[in-house]
Amino acid sequence: MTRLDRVLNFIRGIAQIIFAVLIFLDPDDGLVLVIYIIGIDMILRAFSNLTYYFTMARSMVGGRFALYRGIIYLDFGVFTVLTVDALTFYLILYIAVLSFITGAIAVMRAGEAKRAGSPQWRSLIAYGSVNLILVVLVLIGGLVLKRPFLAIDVYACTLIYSSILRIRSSFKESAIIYIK
Amino acid sequence: MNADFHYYATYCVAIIAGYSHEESQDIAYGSQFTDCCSRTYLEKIGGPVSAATTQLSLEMMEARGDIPTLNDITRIWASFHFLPGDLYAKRKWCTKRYLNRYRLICKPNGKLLTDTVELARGKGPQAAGIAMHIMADTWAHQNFAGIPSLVVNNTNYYFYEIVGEGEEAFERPVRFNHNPATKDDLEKGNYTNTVFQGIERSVMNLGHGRCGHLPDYSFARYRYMPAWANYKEIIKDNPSDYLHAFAQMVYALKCLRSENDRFETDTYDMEAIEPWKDRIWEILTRRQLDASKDWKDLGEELSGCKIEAFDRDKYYKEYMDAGGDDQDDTYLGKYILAALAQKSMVTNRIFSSGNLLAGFSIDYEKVGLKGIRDYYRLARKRGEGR
Repeated sequence: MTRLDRVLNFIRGIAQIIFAVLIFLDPDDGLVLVIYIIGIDMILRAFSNLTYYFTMARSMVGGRFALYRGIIYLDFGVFTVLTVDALTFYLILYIAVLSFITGAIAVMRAGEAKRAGSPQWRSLIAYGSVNLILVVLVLIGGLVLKRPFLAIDVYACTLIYSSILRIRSSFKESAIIYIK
Repeated sequence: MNADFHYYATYCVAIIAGYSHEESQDIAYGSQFTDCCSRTYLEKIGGPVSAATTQLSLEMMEARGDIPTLNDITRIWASFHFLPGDLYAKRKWCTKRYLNRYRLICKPNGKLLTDTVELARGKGPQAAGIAMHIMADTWAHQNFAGIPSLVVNNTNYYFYEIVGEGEEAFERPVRFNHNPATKDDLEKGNYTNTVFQGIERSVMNLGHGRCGHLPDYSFARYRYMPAWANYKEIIKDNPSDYLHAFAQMVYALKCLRSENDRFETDTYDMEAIEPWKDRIWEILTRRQLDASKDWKDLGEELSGCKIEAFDRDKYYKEYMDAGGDDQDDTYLGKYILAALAQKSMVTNRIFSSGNLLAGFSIDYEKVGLKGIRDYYRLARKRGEGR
């Protein structure tokens, strides 16, 4: 990573933590804030995809998908930002699906690590299980008990975890020695 | 390429190049182990994880999309399975971001291949095995890059297999499915590939995943449009490519035995393989998922000795029983050092070409011990050599 990448990574990590704490402290506004963030994120992705299409993918086999994806992201992003109130249900599903994918991959990885004899399988299975339990809690809390705030808390925890990894990677040695 | 070529065919190559049965087995083991030495395996033996020469599928699925992770993936796949053909390749009307990916496309006979073979000189069968694996893959995996990149590695529905030879040859469209549990069906022409992922840096777009295992089958002939070729078609003739790989490997192993012969690209020892050329061609063109038995039979005929089946843990006990620094003198210890040296060299060449996709390389002579600690072993080993 270049020095600039490290600084930007660090700033993004700190911003994520601040954002997570804010939505912890005020879940009502936090819910709205999360939906706004997801909407804005989609709009940014749309522009990123369109840039990608015009700078790299235009002459590539299957490159037009990047253009279509950019347009669809833009559409969804604008829709999300304009209809915040109606999207609580989808937000709960979104968070549950994200946690489920993370948990399922970790559990499968644990199986693979165990078969290969790596001691890392215990931490992987613990991480995967926690994620899968969170999925159940988010779905029960959001869809059965009608309490979407649990999903917000889970989202905030995920953000804090990811920001810690991000900050750690900013300080990690990544260069490789070359000996002639 | 699969174990049939990386292990059994490599054994045949070593025997033809004049190595003993034991040496040939060690070289073949080193070659095939390059497809087994994952981070998970290194954690199991308590080795340095930076020496990983491959990734398990779930290790890749778990990978984050951040810069250090992408650098790590690129270092592994570009160093050992998709050696870049020309790090200074030119292309008009493209951005630097695109050009950096384009320059990592694997091709045979690149300058990095010379560096790879010369790096293995005098470092034993482990380093020779790694070099043979890389060399063989430059033929099989050409036109794909060891980096997750849609704009380089993507393919589409325009994909035809050429079945048979001469007047009996015919073409049929290749049908791909995305279920990794499905076996490739050679009769019907159904193959497994990775699912289309429109995200540029998705691991689904790593290497030849988008065209499945076709590059790994010696019999396969096919034509398709690579993503990077501006809608131009490529015809891939694996039997011919594999034969060239075989002859080049014989030449390279002979060079490694000799003190004076420096390895040169585009040189093939066709003369040495002439007595067995028809037999080799027959194995290469036979339509089968695994040619191990054919290569094993040929190898045993060549040496008159029985070839052991590949056992990933063959040297596990030796490594675990050796304590501390003595581990560096075991088979696996030397393999790990050779893998670290190869990765360090390729990263340096990519970095020196102004391309940051494999991360930063720092010169030990200028800055001393810095960077990822796993590589300090190389410096320590060099100190011993003085």
